[in-house]
Amino acid sequence: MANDDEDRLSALLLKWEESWDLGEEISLDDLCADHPELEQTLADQIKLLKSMNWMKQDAADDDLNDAEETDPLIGETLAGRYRIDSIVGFGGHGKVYKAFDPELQRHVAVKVSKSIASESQSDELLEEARRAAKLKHSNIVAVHDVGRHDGQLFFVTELVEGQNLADLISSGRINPSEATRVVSALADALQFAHEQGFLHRDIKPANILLDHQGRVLITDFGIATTIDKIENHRGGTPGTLPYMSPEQIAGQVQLIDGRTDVHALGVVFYELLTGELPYQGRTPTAVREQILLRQPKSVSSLNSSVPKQLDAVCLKCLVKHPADRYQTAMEVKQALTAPISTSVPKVGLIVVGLALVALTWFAWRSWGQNQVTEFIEFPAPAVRDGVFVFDGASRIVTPLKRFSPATLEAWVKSRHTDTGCYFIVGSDVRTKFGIGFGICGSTLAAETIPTLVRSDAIVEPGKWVHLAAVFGSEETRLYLDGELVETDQPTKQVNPESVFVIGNVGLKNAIDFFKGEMRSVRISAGERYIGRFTPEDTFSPDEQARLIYDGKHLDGTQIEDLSGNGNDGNWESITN
Amino acid sequence: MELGHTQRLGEWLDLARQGQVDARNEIIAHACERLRLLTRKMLKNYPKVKRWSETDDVLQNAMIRLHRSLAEIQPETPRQFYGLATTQIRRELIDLARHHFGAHGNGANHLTDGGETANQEIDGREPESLDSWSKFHEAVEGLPEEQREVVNLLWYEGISQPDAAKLLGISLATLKRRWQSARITLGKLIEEIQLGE
Repeated sequence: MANDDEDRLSALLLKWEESWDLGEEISLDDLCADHPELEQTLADQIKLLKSMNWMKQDAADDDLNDAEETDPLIGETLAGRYRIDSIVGFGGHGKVYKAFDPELQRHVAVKVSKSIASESQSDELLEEARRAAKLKHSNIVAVHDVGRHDGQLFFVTELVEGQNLADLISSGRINPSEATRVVSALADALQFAHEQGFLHRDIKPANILLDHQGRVLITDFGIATTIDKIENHRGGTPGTLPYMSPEQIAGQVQLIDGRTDVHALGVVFYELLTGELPYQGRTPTAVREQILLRQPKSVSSLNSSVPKQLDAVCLKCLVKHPADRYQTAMEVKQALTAPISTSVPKVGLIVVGLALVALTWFAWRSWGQNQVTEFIEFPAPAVRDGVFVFDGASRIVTPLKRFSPATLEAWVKSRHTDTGCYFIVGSDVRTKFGIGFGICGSTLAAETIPTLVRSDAIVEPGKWVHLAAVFGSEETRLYLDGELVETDQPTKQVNPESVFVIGNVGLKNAIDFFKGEMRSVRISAGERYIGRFTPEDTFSPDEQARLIYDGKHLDGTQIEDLSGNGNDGNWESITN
Repeated sequence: MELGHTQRLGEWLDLARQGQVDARNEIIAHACERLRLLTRKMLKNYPKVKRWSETDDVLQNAMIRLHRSLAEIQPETPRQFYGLATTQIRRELIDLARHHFGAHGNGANHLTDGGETANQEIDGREPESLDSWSKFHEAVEGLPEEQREVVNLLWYEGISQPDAAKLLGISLATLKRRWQSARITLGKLIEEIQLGE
């Protein structure tokens, strides 16, 4: 094969694999549209890549299935009391056995950790588990005893005869009223545990049991964290990836509280209502990015029988920042039990004072209908001293179709200090990656197709800084005040299916709005910056510039393009 | 983005060269942990093997050998360290597959789960038999150096793609191309192995 063909083949295969990783496989016809002669070779190599996809799973993430192992504990008596009869389940951290307690003449469940804990370590952890054992609630599996066997910790709990929620979900879709009953019961239990000072941190269907009478029970309270401490020598962020919250993924331990369990409750609710996880990807990295960045599809778009109100409750549990979720599990329960209305009065939006709360409402209301513009107002741009003021609910929609290679840059004074991602320039269409840049977790970040590029460079709030992202053909580069702070992979081909938007992530995403001041913005074709540079105080038009806005050149809601290309923008806001 | 591992390794190597025992132990512990994880992955389809008490002993012995061999070397750079460590890890895995649990090992007569493993494909065709695993590791040995180095870092060492690109001094795009080519080559080899069985 000629070198040209090999390069082309390699590029096409990379393109295919990027889409495959995101669960959006490009068809062979599309892939080979310009090079039909490569079709057979591509098909063969794609087959091989699919067959080797297991290599992309890290050994550390491997979920081992020991189901068929003949178990040495069967027939053993733990702590001179509990006779192990059979295996009833497996968890990431250990096995669950059915055992008999001859003292009280009853069957119990015994969960045994996989890891060996040291004596001093286990004393401390056992104490913690004993405290958790005091949690007595009709929707929490009672812990009867904890102990040690050959260095392994074990937990004796009530034996629940029935099935777990994971089995129920896999057996078919659950109707919305049953899902609501289950989630209400879970919210009740979580509220009680949170009030006692306990977080679960690993709420997922496998940890939720339904007995034969339909009673809903959370298992592993105090156990998930305890075992995780042994396994990973940490106590902050145990969890199971698809159910983890953004703050767990980001390692923001200080943000982990009851609202982290509320997020997991939202994931479980979503799965119950739709049969699907809200965040999906073929690799753990893709799932992490989904959790950190992407809004899930509305529940009602996947299951039309779900009332909008339930859809809203579910999505509010899943909001990225804990401050914008329900603050307590009780609030979730109250929202679920409130009378269902067929429409939400528009006036509700106006009376909500907090912009982000309004955003959440707006988001779920609009995603279901995919009619963002229904709610968009066109007030005059907020400008102070010749500077745009973005209030977290405004953006400028440009007529410029997205493209690459491109250089996006802006002078900004941010107000963001939290873990969310706020876009200064975006270009996305919903559920897909686009190109853009912004501030994620207070650091400069860019979105490429198909991944997020994050730097360690902190964008200091309250200070004017020049931020730039170069989307080159070989790599993506991020600059803070002219200093190169991050280099990463190049974006894949950018389709002009969306326009550039300033102040949030994309035209149809009512999320991730920037808050702060923006003095000027420039979008240029090509790679304007390669090495270190001194940023211009005022962006000048030149051959590369496709669009330049500043806060001084406006006409009503229209923002004048100073590049000379006629790409005037429009100021939009979702609140008045 | 996790940029830390290569940087940390570089710092450990510097400290290790200065005679800091803790730093050296950190480096070796990382390699041993990877060996443990990969062994577990390789043996996961062999539940009957895992009940034997000697499983832990065999792994322990392999880890001790790895520990010793790494303690004797003085790598200058993270790249050199990974090259040496991965070669050792692979040798131990091949040894485990062939001599301890493979066709000629103690486990040969205890493998009664062929029917189960046939249904345990997780994402494509992960090697099913220990013999296939052994051949897979050998196939990696036979890859062109550039591709092998990428497989070493991403699969055996479990480090991130951006870290690996930095460590090798190549662009991320080049790393991705090599990673893809390596998997295609290995896919062909595994296909041939399966056809031949």
